[in-house]
Amino acid sequence: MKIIVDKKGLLKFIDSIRKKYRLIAPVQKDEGLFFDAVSNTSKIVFDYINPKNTAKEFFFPIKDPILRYDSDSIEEVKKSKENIAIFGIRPCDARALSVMDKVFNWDTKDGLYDNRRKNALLIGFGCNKAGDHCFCTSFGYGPHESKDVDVMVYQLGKDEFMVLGVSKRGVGCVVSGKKASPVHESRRKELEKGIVFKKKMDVDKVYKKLDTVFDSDYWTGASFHCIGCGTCTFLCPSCHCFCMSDERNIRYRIWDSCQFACFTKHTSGHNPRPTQRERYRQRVYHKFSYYKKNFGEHLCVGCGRCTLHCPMKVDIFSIANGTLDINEK
Amino acid sequence: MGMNEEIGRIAGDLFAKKKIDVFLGYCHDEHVGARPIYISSGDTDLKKKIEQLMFDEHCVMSLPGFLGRLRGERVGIVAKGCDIKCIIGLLQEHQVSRENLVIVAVECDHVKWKGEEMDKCKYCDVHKPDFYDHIMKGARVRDNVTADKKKKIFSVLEKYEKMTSAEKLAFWKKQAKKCIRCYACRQACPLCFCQECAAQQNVPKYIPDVANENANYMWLMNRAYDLAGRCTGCMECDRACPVGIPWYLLNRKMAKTIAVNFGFVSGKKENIGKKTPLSDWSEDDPDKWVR
Repeated sequence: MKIIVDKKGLLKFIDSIRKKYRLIAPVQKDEGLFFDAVSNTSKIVFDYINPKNTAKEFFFPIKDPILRYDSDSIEEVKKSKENIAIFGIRPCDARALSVMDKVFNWDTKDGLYDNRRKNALLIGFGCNKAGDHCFCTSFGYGPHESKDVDVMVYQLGKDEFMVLGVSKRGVGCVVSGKKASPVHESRRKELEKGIVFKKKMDVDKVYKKLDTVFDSDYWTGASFHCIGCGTCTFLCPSCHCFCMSDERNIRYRIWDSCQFACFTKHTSGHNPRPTQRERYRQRVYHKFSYYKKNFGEHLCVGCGRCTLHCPMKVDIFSIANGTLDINEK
Repeated sequence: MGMNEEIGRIAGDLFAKKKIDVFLGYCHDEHVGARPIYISSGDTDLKKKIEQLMFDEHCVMSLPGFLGRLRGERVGIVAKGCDIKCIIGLLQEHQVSRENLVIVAVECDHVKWKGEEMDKCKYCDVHKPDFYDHIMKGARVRDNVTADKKKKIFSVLEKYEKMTSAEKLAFWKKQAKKCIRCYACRQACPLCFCQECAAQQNVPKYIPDVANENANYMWLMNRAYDLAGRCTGCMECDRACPVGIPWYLLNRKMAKTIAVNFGFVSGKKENIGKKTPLSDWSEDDPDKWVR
C-alpha cells in the first residue's frame, strides 16, 4: 500500500524504526556527505545525488574479524545480532547489493555477509535528478526502481513523500498517513520521466564487443591516466574483492583492490597484470563482461561514483563505451 | 596563437623531429572535462590527439607521476610550476633523466578542483616557472609569492600551529580514524616512486594492513616522514584522498620543519645534484650523533 506523508511524518516513521534497528542514513560531515549511524533524525540529509561511501560497507565491512586464534585454539567470530536499517539508499546502491548477493552465495555461502543482509531493512529513496555521471538506465532499471529494497520512499513535493512497502518485512513496518491516490502515482511517474541522463550505454553491445578486444592497443591509451589509487573500487557499491590479514590473534577479511599492483603478484615475483593497462582493463571486464558471464548480470550499476571521485578523471563509461569504436582485428 | 594551439604546435613539432616518443598533456573530454591525455608516436590518430591538447584552470591533475612508468622513453610533458617542482624532485633523486625530458611549462594563475581554487595556488611561488624547455605565457597570471614572503608560503599552518601537542595528537588520531587504507595518497604522489611500498611488505610487517586507528596513524606518520624534505606541496594526495584527510597540512608542516632546521626547500632548480636533507649528513650538524 502506498502512503502519503509530510516530512514530519516521514521522520516519525524513520524514528520508529530505530527501536528495532541501528539507523544508517546520509549525513553531512566535514569531508562530505556520508552514510553513517544517526541518532537524531533531524540530521538526515534529503537533497543529494549519492553519499560518497556506499551501503556495501555495512554488509561487507572494510575490516571484518572472521576468527580468533591462539597457540592451541581457533574460534569463529560469532555472527552479529545487530540489525541495521539504511535510510536513503538509492536504487543503484540497493541494486548493487542484490548483484553482490550472487557472488557471496556462489560456491560457498558467506555466513557473515548473508547474516547482515538477512537482518537489514533497506529504505530506498527514489532520485528526482541524475548526477553528471549517472547511467543506471543503461542497465535495465531506473532511478525509481523499488525491487531491491524493503521500503521505498519517493519525494513528490517539498513536503510530500510517498512511502511504499515492498518486501514482506517492509510491508510490516507501520506507516501512518493517508492513502495515496492514482494522482500521486502519476506524479511520481512524471518525476521519473523528467530526469535527464547525460550518459547512456548499450551495455549488451559493449558486452559482446569485449569478447573481441582483450588484446587491443586501445587499453594502453584509454587508461593511461589511471594512477592505480583504487578510489574507484573502494567507493564502488559492488566491488567486493578482499584479502586476509592477521593482526595480533585475529584474522580479518579486509578490502582489496584489483587496481593495486600487488593484487595479482605471485610469490615468485611474477605479476600477470604487470601494468595499469591490464589492471584497468580487468576492472572494465569484471564490470561489463565476466560477471554477466558468471551470474547473468552486469556488476556495474551506473552510480557514477568512480568517475566523480577519480582524482585523474578516469571515466569507466567513456572507456567501456569507447571499445565500440575499436576497429582492429 | 592561443596557448592551446601553441602546446599542440610544440607537441607536433617534437613528434615530427622525432625528439620524443610520448607526449603527456591535457585534453577536454565531453563527459569529464579536463583530463590527462597520453599521446604516443605510434598512435594512428596522432594528429587528432595533438589537436585536442589544451590547458585551462581545470587542468589540476599532476602529470610527473606518470614519468616513472615511462623509463627509457623520451617524453614531452605539459607542466605547471608546481608540476615542475615535482619533476625537479624526480631529477634530484635520479628517477628521470633530463635528456629524455622536454618540459613544456605553462604559466598558471590557479587551478580548480570540484569548482574550488586549490589551497596550494594561494601560496604559490611558481606561477611563473623558471625551469623548462618551452614556456607558454599565461594571459593573466599572479605574481609569485616570493621568498621574503616565506611566512605566507606556510600560512596554511597558522591555525594548526596554535594547537597544543595534545590537541595535535588528538587531531591526527581523529584523521587516522577516517583512513580506509586505499593508498590513493601514495598512488597520486609524484614522489612516491618506491617499487615496493613499506606498507605492503610482509616480512617484516612494518604497518599492519587492517584499517584501524593505530595502524592508520602509523601509515600517516610513516608517509609524513618519508616525504619530509621531499614533498613539494603539489596537493595530489590531498585531492585523491576519498575520505578527506588533510595531507597537505601534514606535509606542509614537515616541509616547514625541514626549511627551518636545514634551510632546505624542495622543488628548487638549485637542488638538482644535491641530496635531500634527510638522506644526507653534515659535519656542521648541531646533533652529535649524526657526526
